[in-house]
Amino acid sequence: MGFNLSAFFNDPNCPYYLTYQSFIVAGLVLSVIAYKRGAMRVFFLIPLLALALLVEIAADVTTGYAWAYHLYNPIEYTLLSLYYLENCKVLRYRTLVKWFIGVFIVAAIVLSRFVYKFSSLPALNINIEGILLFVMYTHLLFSIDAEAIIYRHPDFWISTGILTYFGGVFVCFNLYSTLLHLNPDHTEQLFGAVSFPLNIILYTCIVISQICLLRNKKYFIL
Amino acid sequence: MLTPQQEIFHTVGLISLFFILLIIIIVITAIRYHNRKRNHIMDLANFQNVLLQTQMEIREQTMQTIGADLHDNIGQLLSLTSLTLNSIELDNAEKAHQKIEAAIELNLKSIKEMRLLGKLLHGEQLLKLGLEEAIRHEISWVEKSGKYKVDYLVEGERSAEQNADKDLILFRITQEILNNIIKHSQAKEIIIKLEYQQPGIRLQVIDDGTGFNIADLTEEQKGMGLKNIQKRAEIVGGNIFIQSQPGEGTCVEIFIPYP
Repeated sequence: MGFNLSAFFNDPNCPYYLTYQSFIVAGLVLSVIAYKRGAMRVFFLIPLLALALLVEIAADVTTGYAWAYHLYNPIEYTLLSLYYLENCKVLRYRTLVKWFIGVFIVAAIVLSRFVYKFSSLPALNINIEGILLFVMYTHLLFSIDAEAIIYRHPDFWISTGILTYFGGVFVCFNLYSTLLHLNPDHTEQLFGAVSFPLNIILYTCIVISQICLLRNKKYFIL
Repeated sequence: MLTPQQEIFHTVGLISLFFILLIIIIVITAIRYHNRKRNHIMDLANFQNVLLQTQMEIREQTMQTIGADLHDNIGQLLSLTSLTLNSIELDNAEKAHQKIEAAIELNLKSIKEMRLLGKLLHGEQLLKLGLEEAIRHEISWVEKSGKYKVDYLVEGERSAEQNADKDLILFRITQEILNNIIKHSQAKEIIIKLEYQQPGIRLQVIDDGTGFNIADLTEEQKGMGLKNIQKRAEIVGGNIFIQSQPGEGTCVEIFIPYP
């Protein structure tokens, strides 16, 4: 592992990285403001966004950063599951999700240690995480409070962002890795075209959700 | 002709497109599902409002009927009883006996009327006896005025499945139609037909009054009664048809699906 700051600024994708990292910062700042005003539901988003920012910065300015994703992946899954649990009212699903947190952490550690040896990107871990979160957030999307206007509800934007991001990541990691053997240049272009916007969509949705949250007093404990 | 490599790339592109479409479909379905749920809740709230309003109106109508009956009927009977008792001359035993008998009779009549009023006070309980009985009871008050001849026909058998909220609304509609007839139609004969059909109840109220031209009614005139009747019928999923011509009476027909 080593620092390579100049390589980051010379990277043609640098503007893209800076763009979505500024969205993470914006989401983080808005979440902190919402939490300080009493919106308890963002409690799990703050560490998630802070950690996402740290991991992305580490990935940009260091080499051999894959270990960061091995660490980040189970934490991300846990925090997103806890956010889901905060808003899920079905007892059966809540119990199931709580169990799955433990199961996933164990599975992720086993896969990272024995399959990837903490060296390459944990594609399998991310795929399993993606499938589980996809199911959870689809349920959350369908159980938004019927009295609210859906476009103004924070869970609508968070769910849409997560569905788009993990749905896209699932396609990227499963299909593009096989293409890489056939034509690396072409695949990288295709991968970039699909995966680059995913992060922007996810964090834009998180920012919108925090704006919706701040604009609606009913989510705050006053 | 595509090379096998290009074919794979196209397939991957198509699969990616499929995933994007899948996410779009999920989000759109969620939005539509949410909107349907929201509309349903709003309809329910609206229905509850109408139901509450209907209950209040029935109560108000009951109080009006009681007020009018106390003044015009029981009040008169009691005044007459008092006059009869006052006019008794004790030195004429036979006459006094006759007057006492008449006073007792008037008193019994007053008690009977009071009992009827007591029943009316429990308007909601009246509906527990059934819609048919509640309407019959309402008709008896209309007939008491002596101005109208009312024919009440009930056809068919009521199914076991009932709906108290719909009964309440249909009863209120009947009251409102009868009120309109009394206030505006100058009718002499009224026919009320309650027909139990397999999917619902059909109510027909026909009068031989002055009638009116529906197209000529102003919005304000409609707003007085017809709009209320229409709104109530619609809220329980029913239909209303009104046929009327000046000088030819009016026929109001309502169908409400049950349960």
